[in-house]
Amino acid sequence: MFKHIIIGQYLPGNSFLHRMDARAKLIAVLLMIMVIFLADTWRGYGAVTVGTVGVWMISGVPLRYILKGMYPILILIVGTFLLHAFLTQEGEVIATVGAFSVYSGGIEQGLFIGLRLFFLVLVTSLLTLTTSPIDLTDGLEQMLQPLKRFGVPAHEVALMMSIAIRFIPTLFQEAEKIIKAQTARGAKFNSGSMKQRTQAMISLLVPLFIRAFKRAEDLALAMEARGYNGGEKRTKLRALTWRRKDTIACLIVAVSAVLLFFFQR
Amino acid sequence: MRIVFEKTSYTYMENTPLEKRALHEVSTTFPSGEIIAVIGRTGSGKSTLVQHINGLLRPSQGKVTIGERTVDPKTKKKQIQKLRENVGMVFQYPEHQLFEETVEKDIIFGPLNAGTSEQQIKKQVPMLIQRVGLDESLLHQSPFHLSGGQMRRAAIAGVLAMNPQVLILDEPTASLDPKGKQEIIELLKEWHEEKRLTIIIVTHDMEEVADIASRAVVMHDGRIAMEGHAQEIFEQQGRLEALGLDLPPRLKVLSYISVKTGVPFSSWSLSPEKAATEVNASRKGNKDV
Amino acid sequence: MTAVSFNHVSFRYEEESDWVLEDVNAEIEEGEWVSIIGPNGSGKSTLSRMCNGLLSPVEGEVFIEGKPVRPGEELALLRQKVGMVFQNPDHQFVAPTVKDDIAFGMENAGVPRNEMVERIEKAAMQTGIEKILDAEPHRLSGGQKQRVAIAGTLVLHPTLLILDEATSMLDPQGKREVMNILKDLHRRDRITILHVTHDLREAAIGTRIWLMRFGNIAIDLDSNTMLDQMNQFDTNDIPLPYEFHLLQELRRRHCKEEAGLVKRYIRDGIAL
Repeated sequence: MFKHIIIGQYLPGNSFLHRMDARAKLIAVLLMIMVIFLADTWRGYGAVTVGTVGVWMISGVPLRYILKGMYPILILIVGTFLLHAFLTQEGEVIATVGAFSVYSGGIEQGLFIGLRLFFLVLVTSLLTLTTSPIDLTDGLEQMLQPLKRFGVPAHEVALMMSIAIRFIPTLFQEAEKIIKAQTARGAKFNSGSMKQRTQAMISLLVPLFIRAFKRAEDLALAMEARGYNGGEKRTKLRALTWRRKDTIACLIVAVSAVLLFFFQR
Repeated sequence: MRIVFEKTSYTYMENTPLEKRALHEVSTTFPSGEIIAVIGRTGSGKSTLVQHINGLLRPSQGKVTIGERTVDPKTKKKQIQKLRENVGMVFQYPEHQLFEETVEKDIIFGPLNAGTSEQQIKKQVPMLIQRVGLDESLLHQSPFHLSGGQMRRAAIAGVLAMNPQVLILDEPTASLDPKGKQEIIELLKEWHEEKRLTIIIVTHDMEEVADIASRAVVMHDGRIAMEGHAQEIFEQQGRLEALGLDLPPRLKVLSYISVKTGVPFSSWSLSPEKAATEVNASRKGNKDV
Repeated sequence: MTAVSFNHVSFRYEEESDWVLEDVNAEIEEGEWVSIIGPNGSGKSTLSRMCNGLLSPVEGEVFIEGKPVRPGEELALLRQKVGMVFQNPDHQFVAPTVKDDIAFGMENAGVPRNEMVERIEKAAMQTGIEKILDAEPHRLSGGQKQRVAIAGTLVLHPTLLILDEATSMLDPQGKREVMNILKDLHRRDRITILHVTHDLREAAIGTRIWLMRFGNIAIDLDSNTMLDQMNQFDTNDIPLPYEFHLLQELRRRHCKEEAGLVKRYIRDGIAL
């Protein structure tokens, strides 16, 4: 089930996007998300499509991979579309199904929201697919740095994210092991009554949490032993390098965003 | 219960780019009522092999017969359920699977799943907990308040409670101290003497099982590389070394002495006392010449 | 110089609870390799954690190279000198890749970037992990992870390396890898080693053995003497591995030559 989810996964490569500075990518993605939320006409969405497809084309990520990754959120998108299609009462009535009437405005609204979701996922997926998690957290940490004086714990947030990313595979390996062990004791994860399944889930989740806490404790001790003292006076092995092309890429996205705002009216 | 593998193959993540064949047409028989050691390096397929015995894995090709039941690629999940009630499995670090509020509740989890009545199983729990060497007073404590070694034994009790006819253990003594190791091995030996069930121990440590295993199966690259009487297998220095396995400690040190001094040992599985006696005899023999 | 000295050290987690350590007095000289063995709960790990201030004595004091271990600014510096590797290979790997994990301690210590790269290369050579520097932890074996953990301490140029049951979760191959690295570090780089272990085979390789019991060092012997006086061990607590037992039996039969051979076999760690 999990192998199709692409959000948060990194696909190593050497495309233009892969080589961009993580901070530039974060800025560009933030801008693109703003644009996606601003778009509310057909022309606007057309432009967003062109832009996003353009970004995808320079990412070097196979289309097959993206489509497969979109599959799990398809239900969400279709659901949102249906919800809006049936509940929005604007424009003309196109069809009546029982007590429900579908309005043209509803269809439009549904399509817009569905597309918005689609593009949001696509753009963020492209970010994580082309940026290694460690660069991403480094980029985030540096971008949050100015907010530190307002009490935003930039270093801690980034460290937390990076540890979370590091331990996700461990967590899955562990879950698999526990599922097997409990299955061998007759726990019914996939068959059996609701009550049996719930019990099976408990027999998975309790050990998983207890192990996670134990791991957190051990990890904290190990970090302390290695001289971890918070973010002060730390140096970094990884240096992000902002090149001219990063500036240009961000400018292009920014200018496109402004243009789109006028163009879609 | 007798276990028969017939040309059993298993492939992980079949039909994906990550496809990995872990078993290649394995055919072997585990005779009923014996203690069998399954040995091999990490990744040799030994865990994959034993997970077929309780249907956690279904063969991609071939079949496995456990007692009266057969598991092949087409076997339905429902049928496997029944199999699990007869085949107990203790995974590596079994204490990681404890989850109930009390030790007692955790021990009866398996039997309850198998449909045993709570009353019936609760009667047996005090006997069980003593058998694994824990005090009865621990039954109503949280399993998470036990020491590491105690947790391990409580977890094993949870599998023994299902009274399996086949018991599989994956590295049951991993990371315990030498005394804890001995105790677990002792416990298995006693349980076997009483119940005469088939016990399969997956391990790296030939020394540990040397005194209790009657049969040994050595896995290499998803195939069975050696099988037979444990004693005989553990003496085959050349073959074991060729497979990149660690030699049993007694074989290793005795052959070291033999190479350096020329003492001919009558066997590689002598007890320390007997080995020393043979050394002594050989020295005297040399002097006489 | 004295690397570590425990001066009337006692410890318990809470007032009123039982003492985990009770009036421990001992010293480790620079360049020694001390193995601590003993049953679970005898205070082995607790004692080792006193050396880098992860735990502080309730009574008494610990000195590292003559300086007292006390909470405060200097503790960070002390922790560079005293490297520590823990039991569970998975629970001490902080970063998403090997290279980043090795760098973690240096980042904390504020080592400049270009120096980090050099030190990583050197430590990777010392621990034989040059080829997996970019690997992710979940693709590594237990032995590899522990080697990474050792490399992560070496980059800080420690004078004392503590292994807190660091081999107990490894397969034989992993144990061997780690023990071979320790041998090199001890012999070639003159690092003082404190190795907490259950395994008498591993313990016999070092220069000195402490047997802990009930929060105290019950037996303190250099490894050579230990092999001559094994009857001091209560074999109920510490079951003797095959070759140790054999050594005793050979001695009993006055087979000196063979006993010497077995002793060397044990001391050189051929059994591992």
